[in-house]
Amino acid sequence: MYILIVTDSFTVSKNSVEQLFGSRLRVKILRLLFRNEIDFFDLDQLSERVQESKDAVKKELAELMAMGLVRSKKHF
Amino acid sequence: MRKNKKSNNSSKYFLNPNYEFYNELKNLILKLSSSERNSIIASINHLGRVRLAIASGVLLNDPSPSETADLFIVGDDIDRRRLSRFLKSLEASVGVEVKFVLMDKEEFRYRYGMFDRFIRLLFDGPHEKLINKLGI
Repeated sequence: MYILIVTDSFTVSKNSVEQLFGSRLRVKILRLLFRNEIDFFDLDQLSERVQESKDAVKKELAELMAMGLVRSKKHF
Repeated sequence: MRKNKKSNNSSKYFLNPNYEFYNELKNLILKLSSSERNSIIASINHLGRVRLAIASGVLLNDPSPSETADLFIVGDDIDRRRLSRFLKSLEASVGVEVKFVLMDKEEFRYRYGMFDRFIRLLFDGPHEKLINKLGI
């Protein structure tokens, strides 16, 4: 279940940190990861926690991985 | 809520601890900007007749675990649906669970007057008043 909140005044606000990092979603993903440094998240969990679609999260992850900031591994 | 049983062969993602600017980035990312703070205040004001809103714990720029509440709101006629939507969106942008406590003005007055333990811990610890229409 994914709930997208786009009309909330709080969600659409601009701020310089988001601008610096390119997107609000990127900041949200990084906040989640830095706040929970010892945890691993799969795409479903990330998408639920940041309240954004899996496709959007996947796209950001690809860029963060290309930058060398995020890594992934197959979980068995 | 967090049921992820089917995720047996999906990739897990994590931060690269050897990233060159790891600590610098962490400091920057965890900080709440003033514009974020302002929109949080606007959203809280929108919840109902809010008299007092106090940020603590994970909502401070120097985040620490809170013994009491990360967000404490005193108000009346609070719109519950709007409140749960706000909390969801707040948790999504802070990246961690937000401990939340709501009191009506009557209860707060009573507890404030009798030096209630919860109120005392909150006011004695690191906190920031986001909204204060009670003059305290």
